[in-house]
Amino acid sequence: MTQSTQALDRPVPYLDDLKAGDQLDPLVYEITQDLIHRYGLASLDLNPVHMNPAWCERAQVFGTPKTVQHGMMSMSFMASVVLRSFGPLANILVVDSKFTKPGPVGNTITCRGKVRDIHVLNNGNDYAIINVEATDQEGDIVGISEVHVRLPRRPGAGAV
Amino acid sequence: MSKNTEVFEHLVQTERQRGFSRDFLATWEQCEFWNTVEVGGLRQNPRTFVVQEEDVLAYNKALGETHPLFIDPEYARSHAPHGTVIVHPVFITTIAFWFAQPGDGGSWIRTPGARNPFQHIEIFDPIRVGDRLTQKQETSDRFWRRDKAYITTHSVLTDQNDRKKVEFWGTLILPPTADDVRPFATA
Repeated sequence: MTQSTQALDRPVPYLDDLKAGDQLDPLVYEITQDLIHRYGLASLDLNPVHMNPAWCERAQVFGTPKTVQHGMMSMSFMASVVLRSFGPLANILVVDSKFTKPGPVGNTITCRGKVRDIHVLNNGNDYAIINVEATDQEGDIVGISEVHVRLPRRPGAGAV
Repeated sequence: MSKNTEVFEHLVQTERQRGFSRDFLATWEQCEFWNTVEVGGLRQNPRTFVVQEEDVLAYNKALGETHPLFIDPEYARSHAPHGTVIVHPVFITTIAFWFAQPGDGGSWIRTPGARNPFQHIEIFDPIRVGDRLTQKQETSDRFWRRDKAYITTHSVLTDQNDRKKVEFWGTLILPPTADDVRPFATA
């Protein structure tokens, strides 16, 4: 797994420091069976399509004899793109995800985020929308997410 | 130990994992099915999910998080706003599955052969270690799209102070009947 570096006490960015089109640091994940097993147990999603390689060979739910990663793991990775860039204290309000291609074990998934728009409400509920795309090693999109994150205004920043 | 779960049993580490009904193949007939589930009627699950530190650590570590606010309780005690490790926003997955065990409303999320097309989470107040969460849940929609049977659960999580924490809508594509699930469950 490749991780962006993150200073321990890096503050959550100000909304005013973002602009549409800004790119977040990408995250890369190697989808191993051990990762799937650990995520399955942590999330309690123990469906055999993820957890049981012998069953997958027989059932082939997605037309592959391999186990596939959890959609919720993809959703978590896509949310983590925002948390790694903005810090663990970033106040995520909404995560909306679609899963477009199964992710068999052995895949390499890259998650890339980009600021879509900035919502300046001037009432303490200002937020940004980050679009995150997860692609596999073939460049195919396996998942897309929209992440809404509430961010503070820079002190003294005027109304927009 | 079930032969269906033996391949991952050595990784079980938390009390919640130990007490959870882990064999989704053995219990499939006790769960709801797409064609017979009752749609609508938000109902209170009688159980309470107490957010334990070890649950959160297991989730954060499984994702490969490395920031000490996610994985180091000692660091979090002195640096986190509430003195506890930060809960990942998609940790609601753990909560949703715990509230959807055989016999519970929404237990169709355990269906062998299910696929996950899309999900939506709205967070009103971040979940924290120590929260005592209760859940209202309903199957809110059921529909056909491109010859596939979709089904949506709608859940509302409330904390010990009766504050709404999270609302989420989870959709799956299911084999629509027990007869359609059986080939997967017995494969």
